Amino acid sequence: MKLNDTTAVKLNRKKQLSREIWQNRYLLLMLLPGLAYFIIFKYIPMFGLTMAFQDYSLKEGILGSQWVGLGQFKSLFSGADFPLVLKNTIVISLLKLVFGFPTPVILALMFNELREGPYKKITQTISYIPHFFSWVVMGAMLTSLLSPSTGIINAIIQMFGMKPIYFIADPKYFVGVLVVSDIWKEAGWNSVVYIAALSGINYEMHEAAIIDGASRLKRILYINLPSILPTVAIMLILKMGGVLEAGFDQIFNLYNVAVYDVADIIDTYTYRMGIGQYQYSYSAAAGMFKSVIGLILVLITNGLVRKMSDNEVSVF
Amino acid sequence: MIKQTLSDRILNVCIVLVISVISIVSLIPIWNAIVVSITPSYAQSLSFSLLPKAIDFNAWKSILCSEFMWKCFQNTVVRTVLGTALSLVLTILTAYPLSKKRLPFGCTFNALLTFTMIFNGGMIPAYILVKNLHLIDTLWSLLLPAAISSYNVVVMRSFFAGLPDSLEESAKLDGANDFIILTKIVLPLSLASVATISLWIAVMHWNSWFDVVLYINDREKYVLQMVLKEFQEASSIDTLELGSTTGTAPTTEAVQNASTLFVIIPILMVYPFLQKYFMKGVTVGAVKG
Repeated sequence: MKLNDTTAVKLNRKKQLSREIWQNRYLLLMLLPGLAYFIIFKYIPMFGLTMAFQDYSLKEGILGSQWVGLGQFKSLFSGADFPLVLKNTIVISLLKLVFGFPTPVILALMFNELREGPYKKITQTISYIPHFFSWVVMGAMLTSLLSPSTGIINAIIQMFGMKPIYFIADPKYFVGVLVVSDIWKEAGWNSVVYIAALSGINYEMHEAAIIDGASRLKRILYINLPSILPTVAIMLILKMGGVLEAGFDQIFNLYNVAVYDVADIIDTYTYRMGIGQYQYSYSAAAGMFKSVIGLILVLITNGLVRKMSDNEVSVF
Repeated sequence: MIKQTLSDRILNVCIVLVISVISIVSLIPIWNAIVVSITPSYAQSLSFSLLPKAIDFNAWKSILCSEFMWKCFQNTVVRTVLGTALSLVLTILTAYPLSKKRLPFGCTFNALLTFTMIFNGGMIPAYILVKNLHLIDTLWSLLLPAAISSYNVVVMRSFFAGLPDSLEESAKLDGANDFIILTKIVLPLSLASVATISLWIAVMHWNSWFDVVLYINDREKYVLQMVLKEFQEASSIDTLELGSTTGTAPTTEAVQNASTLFVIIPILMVYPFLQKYFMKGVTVGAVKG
């Protein structure tokens, strides 16, 4: 009897499922092109990563190429290039984190103090604009600005009687250029999240503080800042997940042979080895190393965020 | 109204000052590009100046008279328009079913989507795929690989999920299918979100350059960003045949800066008007989809 029951339930479920599919056939039909896109352009390249375990040749393809196991990874880490590239990636992205992360928070706290009106609107608009420029454009503007012969910055430096500095080609200054230009491009845009959080603060708290005689600075430090701290913490943790993303677009558009020692990151290295020198398997291994570490970091940070916010917020 | 104390006033002045300085400093690179682009070669020397010492428009003339520039401008417009249309349709068609709880295997599909946001095959397998599909040097190589952004799908999906179910129920009773519900009922209610997403996609396409680096070898098919990138190497500017149309040749710097401005002017022109659409949904990403 029992056996019969379960088979009946199973049959029923099968029937129900096919009925559900039929009822929602238009929804499934709609999903078809998107599904095809994700399979072809997202998942096939993921399986394409198997070439990192091969000695891939274009002629033979994935199926015909020779398997080498972890050989490519071994040569990655035994060579001189990759450890340096990995170090550069982490150094650049940590420096960007240390200097670039607090800026939007401070910016948001300051914007929040401005009275509503054209001044606030205009200055905020100016702070977002660079976000909508590509790094090609930013690179061109920076090159012109920092040029040792015609740039404004070097003109100012020379006004003080110092020698012009070739920022873009000097390993001493290049990472600084990366950090500062990244702040210029994204600080305004990144402050939006905090401005939104600040606008949610209950004004009663401020009123109470004013009655107690708290100055404006005190209210910023003891009401506004603590109120947005959860948002700040979550953004920080999310940033930690992308610590191997040092900014390919930016570096690709600014770097040159003179600064490879400090500026070459995993992505730029992957590009030069793979596309430039046709070492597909070797560079796919470098890319895969980055993707896998990135995945692990994102999973860890997402877990942390979820715990901190009591399941309120998570990326997925 | 509570009277402001002296220290509050000082703080206020400080904040306004700091923000003014930041704003002016962040505009200097753009101003610098304008000045250099209209400074003739004889006046270009190293000295601190925020105003051009002499003005000539030779760099602008040589750019605006260059057939190559306009060809690339056309390529950029074509790619942006077609790319935005294609991406928008695909994004909506993907996001709408995923927002429905009644979608069979919905969890699986949503998990497949989320996974693409945290893991990818990277540059080399993507390049080899496009090569194997024989898309190199075609417009498709710029449209298809970037057709759907998972992030945009998530934003659109959470918007659709926020619409009340009662909307479709009455239409269902009248015998409308999901296609009709989407196009006739849901989309007209979602115009603001659709506008935001299309703006993001359009800016993304206008600013794209790396896919051109990877997939396009034929210079006739270059987009503006790519021309700008090429111009960073002075030798490639010779292809504009400077001076042939204008008499005296402008400096390399002037041409580089004029072309930088040429690329960003369209964005600067639409930005102030559409700003509110740009901003919308910025915080959506932080909300659980």
